[in-house]
Formats: sequence, structure tokens, C-alpha cells
Amino acid sequence: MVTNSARLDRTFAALSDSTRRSILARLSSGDHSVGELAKPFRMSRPAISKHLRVLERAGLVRRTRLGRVNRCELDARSLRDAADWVERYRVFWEGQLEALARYAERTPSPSSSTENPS
Amino acid sequence: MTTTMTTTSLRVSRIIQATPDALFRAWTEPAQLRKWWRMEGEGWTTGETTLDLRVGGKYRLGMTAPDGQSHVAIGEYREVRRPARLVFTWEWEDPTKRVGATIVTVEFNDVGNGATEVVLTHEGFEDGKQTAGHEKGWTQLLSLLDGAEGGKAA
Repeated sequence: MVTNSARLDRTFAALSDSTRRSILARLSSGDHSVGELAKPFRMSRPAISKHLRVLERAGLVRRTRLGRVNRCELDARSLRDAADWVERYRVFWEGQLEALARYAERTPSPSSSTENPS
Repeated sequence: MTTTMTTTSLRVSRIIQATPDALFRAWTEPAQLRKWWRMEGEGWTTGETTLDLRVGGKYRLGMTAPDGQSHVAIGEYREVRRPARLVFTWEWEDPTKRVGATIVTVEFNDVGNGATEVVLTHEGFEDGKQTAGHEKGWTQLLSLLDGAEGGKAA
């Protein structure tokens, strides 16, 4: 569980950057080399590599070396974990709103049931 | 009930047959909170409920698990706009589980006929620095929510 949590931390930190989210979006359509990934961004290859390292540490991207070319692919497992966490919180808040509705709908609002004394 | 999610925030909404004012008070008066704030499931009870309803004022919202363990959410109010909007920070009280706060916004939109759309947005992890040290908070929350779902393990 602790290991999972540490990984979630890294996942969310990695996802907090729009460039990294764009990289992930591109990788969702298939593998790319670092050079191909760098192209649409006005960024140096080292800058892109830095983002890739963050994504790699978060377990979102896998890099494999083929000769001199680094291929990158999406590793969806961490994304699923993150979505899973949000899903749990969603269950929590939906439960709370459900409880609020049950409470509020059987408790008449005092302001609407109170006659104006004047 | 509608829900939309992104990886860093989630939004839950629900139409409730009550006025915005009544619902705002249900969220902000301890005596009322005690009547509904608890986890679903057998054995969960409402715990300590104290709050200081003003911008910068703090709250403590407790729930007690079936095993007797207390889970207290704490934070401070960022926006108190009766009866339309309530914004507060959200984290766990236990100092060993203390983490950077996430933000909860609850909006009460009058939709007519005495009904209100309650929209709850929980945002966190919007920037990198907030995620530092979240490990224990995640663990705590996961186990808390596990418990609420009948012990389904993550």
C-alpha cells in the first residue's frame, strides 16, 4: 500500500505539467522516439528528455534503447492507479451527497416553514 | 448524480429537494452536520464536529470507523458565501499523516421549485509542490475508503 501511495504521488506530480500531459497524449496513439516527441514542442531535446525522466520515474512511460534511438511507450498502469484513487474519492463524495440528500429531504427548511412574525 | 473526473480533480453534483439556504446550513452548522456526515456502511458513526465559519476559520470533521478508529478531516474556510458557495481546504488531522491541503468547493445553485443543485469539486495536485509528502495521506485515505466500500482491498 505504501509503495502504491508513493507511486501515486509521483504519478500526480508528473501529471501536473501540461507538456508532460501532451507527451502522454501523443504516446497514447503509439510509440515514438525522443526526437519525434520533441518536434511539436518548441523545446530542446534535453528539455524533453527531462520531462521524459519524470514520466519514467512516475511509471507512466517506458523507454527502450534500440541502437542509438530511444523509443518511448506509454505505461498505462500508473494512470489506472491514479484514476482509481480519484474513483475512490468520487465514491466518498457521492456517498456524502447521498447522505445529505436523505437528511435534507426529510428535514423541512426552517426558513420556508416559518411564518413572518410581523 | 453526475460526476466528471480528471486526473487532478473531480466534480460530483446532485439535485436535492431543499433550498440553497437549508443545504448551506446543513454543511455549516455542527448540530446538522452530526446528523448526516458519516461514511456509508455499518458501524460508522459521526465523530467530533467543530467549526468556525468565517474565512480563515478552522473546522474538524470526524468519523469513527467500526474498529473505533477516528478519522478526522481538518482544514480552513477559504470562502464563505451564504447560501451559494463554500470553499475549504481538506486534509487529515493526524500529524503523522499531515499532507498539503487539497481544496473542496461546494456550490449550492437554486434550480427552482425549492430544489438545489449541489456541485462539489475536489481539487488537488494542481502543482508539484502540493504532492510532496502525500504518501501517508494517500495510505490513510485509501484505507478509509476501503473500509467504506466494505473492505474491498486496493
